[in-house]
This record gives sequence, structure tokens and C-alpha cells, in this order.
Amino acid sequence: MMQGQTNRHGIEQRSTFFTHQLKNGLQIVGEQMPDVESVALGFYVKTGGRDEKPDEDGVSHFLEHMVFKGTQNGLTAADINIMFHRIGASFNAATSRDVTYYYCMVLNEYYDQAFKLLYSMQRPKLDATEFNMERNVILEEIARSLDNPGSHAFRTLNSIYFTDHPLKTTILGSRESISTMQIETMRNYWQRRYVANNLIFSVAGHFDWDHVVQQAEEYCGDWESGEVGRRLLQAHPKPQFVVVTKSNLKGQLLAMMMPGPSNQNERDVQVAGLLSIIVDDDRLFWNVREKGLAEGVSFGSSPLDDTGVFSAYASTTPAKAVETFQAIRRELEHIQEPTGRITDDEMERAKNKLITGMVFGGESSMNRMFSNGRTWMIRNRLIPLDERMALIESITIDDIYDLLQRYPLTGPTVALTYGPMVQDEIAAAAPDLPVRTEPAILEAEQ
Amino acid sequence: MDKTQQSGQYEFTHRLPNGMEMVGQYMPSVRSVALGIQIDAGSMHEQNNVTNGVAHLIEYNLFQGTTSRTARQINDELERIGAQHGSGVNAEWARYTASLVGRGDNLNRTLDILADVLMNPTFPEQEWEQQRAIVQQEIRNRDDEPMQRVFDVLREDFFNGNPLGYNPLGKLETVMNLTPDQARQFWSEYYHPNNMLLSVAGSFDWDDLVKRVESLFGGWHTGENLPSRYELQKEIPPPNPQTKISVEQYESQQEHIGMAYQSVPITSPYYYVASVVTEIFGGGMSSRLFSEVREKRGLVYSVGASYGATRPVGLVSIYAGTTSEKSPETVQVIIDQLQKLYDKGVTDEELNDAKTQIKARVVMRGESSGARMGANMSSWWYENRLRPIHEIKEQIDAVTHESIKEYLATTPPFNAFVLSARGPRPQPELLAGVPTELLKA
Repeated sequence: MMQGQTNRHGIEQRSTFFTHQLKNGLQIVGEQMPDVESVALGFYVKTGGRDEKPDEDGVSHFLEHMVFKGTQNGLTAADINIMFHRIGASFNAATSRDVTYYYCMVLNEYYDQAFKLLYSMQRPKLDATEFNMERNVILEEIARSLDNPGSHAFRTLNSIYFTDHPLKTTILGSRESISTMQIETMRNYWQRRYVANNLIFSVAGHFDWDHVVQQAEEYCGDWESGEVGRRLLQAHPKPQFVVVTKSNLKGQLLAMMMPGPSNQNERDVQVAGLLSIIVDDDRLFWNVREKGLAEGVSFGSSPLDDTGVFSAYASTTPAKAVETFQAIRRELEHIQEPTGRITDDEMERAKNKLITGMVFGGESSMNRMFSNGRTWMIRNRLIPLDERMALIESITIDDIYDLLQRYPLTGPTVALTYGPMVQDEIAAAAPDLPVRTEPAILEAEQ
Repeated sequence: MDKTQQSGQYEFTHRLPNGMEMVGQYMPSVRSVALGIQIDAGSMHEQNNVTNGVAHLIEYNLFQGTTSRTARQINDELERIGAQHGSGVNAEWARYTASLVGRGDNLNRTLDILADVLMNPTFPEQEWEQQRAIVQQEIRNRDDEPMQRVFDVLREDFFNGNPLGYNPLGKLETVMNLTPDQARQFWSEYYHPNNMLLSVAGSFDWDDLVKRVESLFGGWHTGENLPSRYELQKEIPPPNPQTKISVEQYESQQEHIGMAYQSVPITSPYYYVASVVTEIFGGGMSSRLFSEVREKRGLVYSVGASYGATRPVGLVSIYAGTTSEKSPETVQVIIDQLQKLYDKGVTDEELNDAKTQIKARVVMRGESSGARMGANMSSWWYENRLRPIHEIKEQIDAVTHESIKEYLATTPPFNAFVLSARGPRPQPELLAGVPTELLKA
């Protein structure tokens, strides 16, 4: 248990942190927030699209849906929905490339009911009839993602960048993999990945820690442990420029990825976060968006387990696409040149922005539950807000350039454009990259 | 403990002599403070075929320069404080917000900048061109997202020419020709203190805030007797929706389907009844639409209904996205469910669960300064009063089968029902399962 104190921002840390581990390896993390009535609870499962075998494409996400369709201890799909509703819970779940999580937020008097639902769901029934019905919903979700240009473009770029790496997953799976998936495949995956020692239970807000531990011991203590882990690999992106032509669109999207830091080092993660704010809000916003080139432009860092990426994204029109693409790459290059060096003022503003976001996040039980679950999963420790703020304060401009030495923004770039333009119209935007035309992912099979 | 906390009073209101209104809620448990200024300067005041889009372009251009600050200075000063600013325009109003840590003189410095932005814009020519180019791109890109497109058409059809239905983004043909002069004209007509409400929630000192606001805004348009937002609102007639079907054939994976019908306005005594009924019908994962369309039949991934309201009118809107082969059945099931709701009402269990759900949401959102700022802004804007959370809970508790019956009787959905779809199916196939007399114009 640790308790914070007032830091130099005058922001008093009033939270109290707790951790506990059951004999079977299930880990529990808690952050008590004395000023809130709500409590947020979540199970983090260290599994996602990247942990699927070739014949399991899409199973992590499909399973996340099935977890709501009935439990081994007899709750039906209707029971789960109605009981969450009855206690006024905000609840949901999500599956990403590297994690799957189930969460809810309730007023603290409903903690027991909320916990019962969430822990029961970690032991799902996986009923064949429900499985076949839910298959249709997943196929609809795939169709829906193809109609959203931004999401479709990103999935396609991700699969090309990580061509030789498990992170190439689309998460949703393909029409074919979902249509032919057998329930046995899902049962096996669940047995392999949802073992107690691969799960973290995170709770934040208003709760009684002894009660939380006692309930977890009572209801989760008999869960089986198993061999877990994940293949950690380096990605070897091949620099290229992929053109996806969609003749019925009006806008033209541009996206690119290049290597960035992984999750392994907290300092690198925060340095990359500050760099991203500066590139996004200072450089690209003013020199691309505000020049009228693209209505939307962004830059970010996505640290993952064994690798990470920086990515840039722009939403423009065919008339401005070549210029926008060149302007973005010029900015990424310029920040690494002496004339484009990051200024003290840029650094201060970026830090202030990050810290304001953390103060707001620190007042939300849901936000703290997410942050702690994720941090524990990655680092096996909790990082109180004031420690994270102190870390951010200690970062210097030289730290950013040290990171850029290792992960230059001009590094191996995989770029993609998505919209009405054909290859000949846009190839000139990146004469240094080999260009090819490709269908977008998940559509090729049609 | 600071002054405000010692005083024990947590809710505040104030009106400046020039008509500017202020509301505040002190939250002893937070370090953050959320600030918002709302102005009756939305797209409903535009001329649809001439100036549509100007209210939104003004929102962008206010941050492009003032008589004493460049765009860059405005941005960088706010960032140095760590204030995250946002803005938005809809049919009824323009809103400017900032979220910051409530310490030192952060709040005062943020107010200084926002006041400058609102009162002293210069609408510089070159920046105007750039922002106009950006908005034209936004309009094009929005059309590429089928769900957005469906809702834009749905609103346009529902409002049927009424100013509340003007798309704030504007039309390509109007935005292309908008000039800084038109912006100045609109700005001078609608941006004045008599037309403005400031809301603040979180960690702040009310007396200091009032002093600062008075010194910043107090001398602006004093004694000029400009029309207030209350008078301006009266100029907007209620809409007169008609049944209308718009199906656009489009090459996409899914058929995106939107439907809407008239409900009660935001000031109606049935406001919370409408919220409860819509929650039961299509609010979440235990709603009837979710259960009938998704859980039992596997027709969709997304389906739901929501209730939204403005001062003159409310609107229930429904959305479903489904692949072509399932789209006729999806439409049919939704229409059947709507008829069933209006024929039979809701069950005891549904009523109790929906009330719990909405109350919990209100309480949990109440922990965030941003949400409190927004909620207070709305209740003062529409009702000239602050609604404490316990009062909202009481009103939700007061919803009964009786009041639901009355609400359903006053909002018959098929008198004026709009349906808009975009996808591969032609209209006759899409509506094959719906009785033709139901959707007759």
C-alpha cells in the first residue's frame, strides 16, 4: 500500500493503492479514490489478435462477444444484460491487438452484483447455438468496418506494415475465418489464454479493499493456471507506398507508419508521447492543416509489447493529396534537422497539455481503472499519477533527440493512400518509395 | 480549504448589467476546472442558400487572430496554461470550452484569452481562405461516411426547411462563396453579452471569477439594448415534419438505415419520460431493439435509438447497419417493435430498470467537472435554473406507466416519419416488409 502526497504542481494525491495475487496467479490491483461514489471494475486478459494461431483468425474478438452470451455458472445472455442494466452499470468490452478487457462502472453500493457478473463472464459457457447466432453479428461488424474509410485504411496499413509479424491481425478476422470457425477452436483458445495467471482484475474508485480481496479469493480462487506467454518478435517493415483506389469516395486519406519505441521502457513511452504532441499539435497542425491542405491531420505513438510504431494520418482531397503527403514527410524530416529543433516553449506546452490530461483522468474512476490495469499488465507495478508527472517533468529536449536517433521519423516508412486516386496520379508524392496498387484488406476475398 | 469551500455554498448564478449570464458549481473534490461560454449564434440564424456554414466558419476563424493576438499566440498562450480548448456549433448555439487545472491564475488567464477571441476577432483574409478550404474538405469527407450521410439527410428531411435543420457544416456551394464580411456581419449581430452564458464547474473561486468576468466583459455593448437570446429564440418557428423516405443506392458493404420521428421538446414535462421510453426501446444492450434485432436474429452489429431535443422540438432517431440480404427484415423488425411500443407500452421491469440506469448515469457523470459544466449550461440555457442531481433523480423516479401512456399518445411516430438509407438496395426492396399505408406521405 502506498499513499501519495502533494507534488510540485500543487496537485494533492489522495488515492491509495493496493495489490494482491491469488495462489493461482490472478492479480488484483486497486486504487481507492476518497472523493467519488462510483467504482470501476475490469478484467484485463493479456491476449488479443496477435496471440491467435493461423486457424484462429478473429477468435479473440469473437470470444469477447461470446463472453456476454452465457456463463458456466448458469447466467444467460439475457441475465447478463438485464442485471448490468438493473444496477445502472455502464459496461462494455474491447479487444485489441494485444489485450482483451471487460469492464463496468457502477455506484459503489452495487459492487457485489457488478463483480459477480464480471467474474462469471470470465468463465463463459460457449454454447454452440449462441455461437452460430453471434457469428452473424461478427460478419456484420466486419462489413461495417469496411464502410468506414478511416478504419478500413488503418487496418489495411497495419496488415502491410506487420506483414511478417503477428501484429498484422485485423482483430475482427476475415469473412472466411469467421464463417468457417468451429466452436471447438474458440474453446481451445479460451482454455489456453483465459487462465488465472493471464488475468488482472483492476478496481478503482470507492470500495473496501479487504472485501474486494475476500470476494476474489472466494470466487476466482479455483480458476486454473496455465502456461502463458506470447511470441515476441521484431517487425521488419518494407518501405513502400500502397495505393488503394476507391472510386466512389470524394475524400483522399493518407496514412503512414514507421518504427517507434515499444512498451518495454516507461521513459521511452513518455518521451515518445511528448514528441507526438509536438509533431501533432505544433508541426503538422500549423504547417499542414492550418495551411488549408488537409482538414484532419494527426501523429501518434503506439507502443506495443515487443515493438512499436509511430503513425501519421491525414484526411484530405485528391486535389491536395500529393502536396499534403509531401508536407507531412517534410515536417517529419525537419524536426530532426538543426533548423527544426524542438524549442523550450514547445516542450513546456507539450508537458502542460499532458499533465492537464492526467489531472482530468485522475478524477475519473473508469480512467484510473483502465490505466492501472494496463500499467500492471505491462510493468507489473502501478505508477501513481504524481510519479508519472515527475517523470514527464524530468524529460529534456535531448531525451527526445536521443529517442529520434534510435527511431528516426524518416525511418523505414510504409505509407498508404485510400480514396479515388489511382497510382499514376499520386505516385509522384513519394518518389523514394516503391509504389504498388492493392485491394484493401478483407475485401480481396470477395 | 479555500474561500468558496469555507462559505459552504456550491452553486452560483450572476447576471451582468449588459445581460451576460453566469452559472457556477464548485466541486470540492476535484482539482480540475471546466469553463464554457455559450452564445445564441448557431446555424439556425443563417440564410440557408446564402450563408449556410457561416456560424461554423466563425467558430474556426475566431481563433485565427484578434486585434492583439495572432492565431499562433492564442494557441500557444492557452497551451502554456495547459488549458485544452474546444468549440462547437450546432443549429441552436456556439460553444467555447476550456479544461484546465484550477490552480494559480490559470482560470483568469484562460478567461482573458477567450474574452479576446470572442470580442476582438479580426477575420484575417488569408486565414479565412484556408479555413474555408478546410471546411469544404470536411463536407466532402463527411459524405464518404455512410452513417454520417444518412443522419445528415435524415435531419434535413425531418426539419423540412426549418432553420433548426440547417447543417452547421454548410453546403459546398454556400461555403465556397462565404466572405469575411458576411462573418463580421453575423458576428456583430449575434456575438454580444446579452446573448451569452458562461458556465464553470470544478475548482475555482466564485467571487474572483465574477470580478474577472465583469472587468473583461462588463464594458462590452453596455446600454445598447441588443436583442437577447430569449427574444432571438422566439423568431424560430417549430418545424413541420412530413413523412419522407430517401433511399440512396450506393456501393457499400452494409445498408445504413436511419429513421426519425417527432418527440417532445427539451422543456417539456415529458422530457424524462421520453428519455426513459427511448432507453427501453433502443438505449443499450438490454433494449428491445438490441435484443430483437441483434441478439435474437443476428441481423446487425449496430442498432439503437436515441432521444435528442431542442427548445422547439424533440426527435427520436433510430439507426441500424446491416448487410443487403438482411436489410428488409431489419427494417421490418424495427417498425414492428415501434408499433408494439406504441400499442402496448412498457413492462414494470423495463420501467424500473431504465430508471435505475438513467439515474446511475446522471450520478456517475456528475463526478466529472466537464459534464457538470455542460449540464448546468443546458439547464440554465433552456430553463433559467440549475437542476441539482437529486432533483433530476426525483424527476426520473416520477415517470410512471400513466405518464408514459400520455407521452406515447402525444408522439405518434407514423404521422410524420422520416426514413433515410444508403446502400445497395433500391427502396421498394428495402421497404418490402412494411405496410405501405404506414409510410405514406
